[in-house]
Amino acid sequence: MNLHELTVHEAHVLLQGGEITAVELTQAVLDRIREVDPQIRAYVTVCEEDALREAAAADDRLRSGDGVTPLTGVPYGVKDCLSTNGVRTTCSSRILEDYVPRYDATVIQRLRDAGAVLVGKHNMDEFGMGSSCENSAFFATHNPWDLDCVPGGSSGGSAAAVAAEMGLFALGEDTGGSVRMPAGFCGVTGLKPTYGRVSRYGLIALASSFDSIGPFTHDVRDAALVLNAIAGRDPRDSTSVAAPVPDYAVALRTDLRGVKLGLPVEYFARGLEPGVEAALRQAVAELEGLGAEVHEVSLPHTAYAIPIYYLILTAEASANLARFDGVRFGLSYPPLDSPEVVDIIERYLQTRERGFGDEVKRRIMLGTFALSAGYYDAYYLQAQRVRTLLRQDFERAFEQVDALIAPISPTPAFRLGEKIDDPLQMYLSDIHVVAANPGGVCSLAVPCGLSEGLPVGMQIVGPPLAEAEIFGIGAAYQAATEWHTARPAIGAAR
Amino acid sequence: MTPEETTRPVSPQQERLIDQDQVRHIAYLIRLALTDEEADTFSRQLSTIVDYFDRLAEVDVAGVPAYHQQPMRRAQLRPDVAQPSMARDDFLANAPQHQDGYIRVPVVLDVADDGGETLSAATDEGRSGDESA
Amino acid sequence: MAYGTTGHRGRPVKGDAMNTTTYEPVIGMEIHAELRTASKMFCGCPVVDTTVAPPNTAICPVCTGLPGAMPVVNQRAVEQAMMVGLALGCTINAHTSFSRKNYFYPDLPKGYQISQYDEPIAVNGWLDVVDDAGRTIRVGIRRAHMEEDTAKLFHLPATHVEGAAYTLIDFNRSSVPLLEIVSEPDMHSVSAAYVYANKIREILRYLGVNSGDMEKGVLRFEANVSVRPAGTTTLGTRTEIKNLNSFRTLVRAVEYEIDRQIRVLEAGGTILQETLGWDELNGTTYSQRSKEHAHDYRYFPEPDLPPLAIDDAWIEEVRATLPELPDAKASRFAEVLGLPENDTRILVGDRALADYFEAATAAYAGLPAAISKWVVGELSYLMNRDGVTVDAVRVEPAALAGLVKLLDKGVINQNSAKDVLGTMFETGKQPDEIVKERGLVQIADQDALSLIADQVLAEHPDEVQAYLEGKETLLQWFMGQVMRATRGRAQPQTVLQLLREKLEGRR
Repeated sequence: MNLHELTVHEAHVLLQGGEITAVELTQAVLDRIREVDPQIRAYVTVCEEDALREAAAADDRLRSGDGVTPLTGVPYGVKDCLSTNGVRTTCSSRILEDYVPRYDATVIQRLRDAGAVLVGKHNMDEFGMGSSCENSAFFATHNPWDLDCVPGGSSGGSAAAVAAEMGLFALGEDTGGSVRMPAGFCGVTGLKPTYGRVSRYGLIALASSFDSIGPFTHDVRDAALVLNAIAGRDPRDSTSVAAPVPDYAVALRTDLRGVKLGLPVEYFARGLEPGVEAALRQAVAELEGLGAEVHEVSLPHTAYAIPIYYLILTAEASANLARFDGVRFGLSYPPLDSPEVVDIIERYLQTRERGFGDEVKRRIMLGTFALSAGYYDAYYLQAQRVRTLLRQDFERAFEQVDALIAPISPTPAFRLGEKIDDPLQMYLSDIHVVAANPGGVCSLAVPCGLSEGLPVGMQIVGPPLAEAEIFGIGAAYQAATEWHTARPAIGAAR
Repeated sequence: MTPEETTRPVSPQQERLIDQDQVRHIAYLIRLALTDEEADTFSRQLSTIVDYFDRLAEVDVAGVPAYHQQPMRRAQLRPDVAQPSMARDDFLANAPQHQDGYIRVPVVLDVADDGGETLSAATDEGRSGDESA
Repeated sequence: MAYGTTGHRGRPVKGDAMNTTTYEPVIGMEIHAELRTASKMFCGCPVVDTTVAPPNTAICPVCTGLPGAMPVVNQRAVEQAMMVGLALGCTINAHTSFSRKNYFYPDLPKGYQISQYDEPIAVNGWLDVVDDAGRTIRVGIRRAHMEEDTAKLFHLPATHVEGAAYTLIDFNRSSVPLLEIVSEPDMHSVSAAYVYANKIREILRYLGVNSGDMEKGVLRFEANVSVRPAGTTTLGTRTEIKNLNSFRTLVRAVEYEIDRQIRVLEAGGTILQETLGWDELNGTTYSQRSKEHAHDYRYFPEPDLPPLAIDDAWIEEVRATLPELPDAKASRFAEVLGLPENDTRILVGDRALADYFEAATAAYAGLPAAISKWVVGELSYLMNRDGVTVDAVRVEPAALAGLVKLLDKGVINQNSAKDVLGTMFETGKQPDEIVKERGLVQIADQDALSLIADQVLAEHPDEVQAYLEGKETLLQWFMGQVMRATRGRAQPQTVLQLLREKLEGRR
C-alpha cells in the first residue's frame, strides 16, 4: 500500500487502528515530495524536521487515545499566504522571500490542536493575484495531469500537491476562484466556504471582504472533516461569524430526492469548450438520476461580476499591501549594508518596485485609481452598489432552488506560457468563479469528467452557511461516480 | 518621426482613459517607482481595463445601498483587558535594521510633519542603553 | 493672561487714513485625546506610559502591522468615546463605522490608519465657554470620532560618527485609542480658543478618560485659522497649524498666525490653504507643504470591521455613569452651597480637590463655605508646599471637617486651628487628639482672661501710658502679649474687648 495515496478518512481508520503510524505516513508523504515535486514544483518550503516531530507527537496521542481527531497524524500542506510560526511565509513574492512569522494563523493553530502534521508551504500566484500560478515570483507550478499545463491559481501549488499525493489534504484560499479553479484544473475537491465561516486571522490579506480559506481534498468526506476542524467564530477576527459549526461529516447523503438544483443560464450561455460542456451536461444528468429536480435560473447581473470583483478586490489589496515597505520586515532596498544612503521615501519606492511583480503592481494601481479623489463614486462606490444587486440575484435564485450547478472554467487547464499578455482577457476568463465572493455564497468544486485527458470540474453553489447542503449534494454525486478517484500518472503522456 | 518612434505603435496619449501622468501620480500615492516604459505600459493596460469596467455605470442603482456587512453589537467587541506583549526579540528578528530596541530607518525628510521628536546628538546618548534588553 | 478680545485690533491700510479694516479671526480646533483604557484600540496590548516604558515592549502583530493581523475593537474605548460625546451634548450615532485613511509614513505600520470617516460615533454637540472678557461663547462640536494613534518617531541628526541621519521607531504608542474632537469654527479670539481647549481638557479629566498631562503628549491640539473683515460672514482661506502640544504654543501660534494673515491681506496678498507648523525657537509658523503631492487619503470602509450598532439601552447605561460635569458642579457650589466665586473656581478646576471638599462637607454639614475656605486656602498651601497630591494627603476629609467644627464651636481659635492643621498634615492624627495633647483648647472664660489682661497691663505701664496718649496701635501689641501669656489660646474677640475696656477705664 502506498501510504501517500490514502484519503484522510482512510488514513484515520488505519492510524486509529494502529496499523500505520503517523511517522510512517508523514515519511511516505515526504518521500513522495522528494520523488515528484522536482517535476511539479508545488512546494516553496518543506519542513521535514518539524513535520516528523509533529508526527511523533501525534503518534503519542494516537497511542494514548487522548484528544484523537480524524486529522490526528495526517500530513498536509498550506498555501504560502497562511502565517506559520517559525516557518517562512512568502506569498510567493520577493518582498517576503525571507519573512518568518512569529505566530500561527488561527486555522493553523486549530489544525495543530487537532494533531494534523504540517509538511510544507505551497507555491501560489504572488499575493493571490492570478489564475495560473505563473505569477509566482519564484517558479511556476506544473499540473500533475500534464506537466506542460498550469495547475490553475492562485492556490495552484495546494491543488497540485493534493492531486499528486504530496499531502493528504491542503489548505488554500479563495478570493475570486482561487480554490475552485485549481481544484477543477487538478481534478480534486475544493471548497470555498461562506465568507466568515473560517477565521482569517493570520491569513496574509488580499481582499479583506472576499478572502475565504478552504480545503483541497480527494473527496467531499475529507473536505467535511477538515472544515469541522477549522470552522467557527474567532474573537481575533471581527468578520468571522458566530453561527454554530455543525458536524459536516454527518450531512453526507447518497441520493438527491427532493433537492432542487438550478443552472444559471448566464453561466452556460456560450464559450464553454465542447469537452467541458459535455462533462457538465453529463454531471447534470447524473444528478437528475439521483433524484434531483433541475431548473433554469437567472443571475441577471453576471455580466457585471468581473468589474465588481476586480474594483473591490484591487481597492482593498492596494491598502492591504501598503504595509510591505521594508521598515519592519521583508525586503528592504537598497540593501542596508550598501554605502548608498537614501531617504525613507526613496526606500519605499525602490523596495516596492523590486519586491512586487507586474501583476501585483497593476492591481494595486488599479485599486488606488478606484479609490482616488474624483473616481471613488464612479468606481469603488458604484461597484459596492451593484454588488448589492449581485447578492440579490443569488438570494432570489435560492428562493427557487437549493443549490446551483455551474462550470468552473470555460476550458480545462491551459498550457504554461500560453497566458495571454492581455491582463483584461485573463480577468474575463474568471467569469464563472468571481461572483461567489462578492455574492456572499459558498461553493464546492468537484471533479466531473475529463477533456482530452485533463480534468473538468463543476461547482455546487449554495446560499450563505449552507456548506452542509452542498457537501450533501457533492457526496451523493461522488457516491454514484468515480471521477474523484482518478489520480494522475505524473509525467505520463495524456 | 525618428526611426525609434516608428518601431512601436503608440496609442495617442490624450485619448487614453488613464494617461502616463496619472499613472505616475497613482504610482507615487502607493510608493511605487516606475520606469518610463512601465508608465507607458501600465497606462495602456489600465486604460483598457477601466474602459471595460465603465460598463458598471449603465446599471441603475437608484435606491440601492452600497453593500455593508451585518453590524456587530456590543457583545462582539473586545473586553478591555491587557494581554502580554509579543516578545521584542521576535519582533526585531524580522526587522531589516534595529538599534537599542527600536526599529531603525533611514532619514525621514519631512520631519516637521509628524510631531516626532528631533534629538540632538547629546540626548541621543541619553536615550541608548536606557532600558533592559 | 489677557489674550485680546474679539475684533482683532484693526490697523489702517497704509496711506489711506479713511480705510480702516478691522479683521475678525475665525478659529476652529481639532483636539486629539488619548483614551485611558487598559488595552489598545484594536488589540490587547497594554496602554503604557510611552515616555517611560522601554521601546517596543507593548506590541503585537496587530499594532505593528504584521502580515495577517486583524483589528478587534476595544469595548471600553467605545464607551469612553460615548461618554465624551454625551458630555459635549452630541448625538451618539446608532450606526457607526470605521474607515481606512491611506498614506505612507514610518509611524504608520499598516500604511493606513483605521479611523472614522462618514459615520463617526458622535455628532452635533456644543460647549459653552467664557472668554477673558466675560462673554459666553457657544462652540459647536461638529463630531468626535475614534481612531488609532501612530508609533513614536525619534529623529537623529547626521554625525560624523554615526554617519547619515536616521530615525528610530517605538511602536508602544501605535494603536493607542484616540478620540478626535472637531469643533465648528466658532471661536473668534485667541482667548476663546484657549478657554475652549482648557474646558475640553477639564471635561476629559472629569470623565476620567484622559489625564490632561500635556507633557506626556496625551492631549494634542490643532488649530484652523482664517480671518475675515469684521461684520462679514464669508469664511476666508484657512490654514491648519499642527502639533501644538501645550497651551502656551497654542496661544502663541494662533496669535502669530492671525497677525500674519492680516499682514498678508493688508499687503494685498492672498492666504494659501496649507498646513503649518509652529517654530517655537523663532516664534513663527512655517509652511509644511512638502515637495510631495497633496495627500489623497482615499478613505473607504474598513473591511475587517463590520459597522457597529449602538442601541439606546447602551447609550443610557453610559449616560448614567457620567459624573457631574464642571458647569453643573460650579452652579451647585455657588447656588446651593453658597461658596464664594473664587473657591468655586478653584474646586471645579480640580475634580479631585472638589471630591475631597464634598467628602468633608458630608462629614460636617455646617458651613460648606467654611470648609471650602480651608480646603482652597491653608490645606492647598500645605499640599503645594510639600508637593503632596490630594490622593496622598494625610488629612482625611472627615478630619478636616472635624477641625472646622472645633473652630466653629469656639473650642479653638483661628491661630490654633492653623497650627493643628499643620500637625494633622504631618501626622495624620485627628484634630481633637492634637488639641487635647497640646492643650490648645481656647480660653474664653471672661474672668480668667480678665486676670491675664490685668496682669499684662500691670507689667507694661509705659505702653499703657503711650496708648492713652494716642498710640492706639499698641492695642494689637497688648493683644499679642496676652496671646503669648496664654500660649495662643485666648479667644481674640474677648481679649480685645477686655483690653479696650480696661485701657479706657484708665483714662
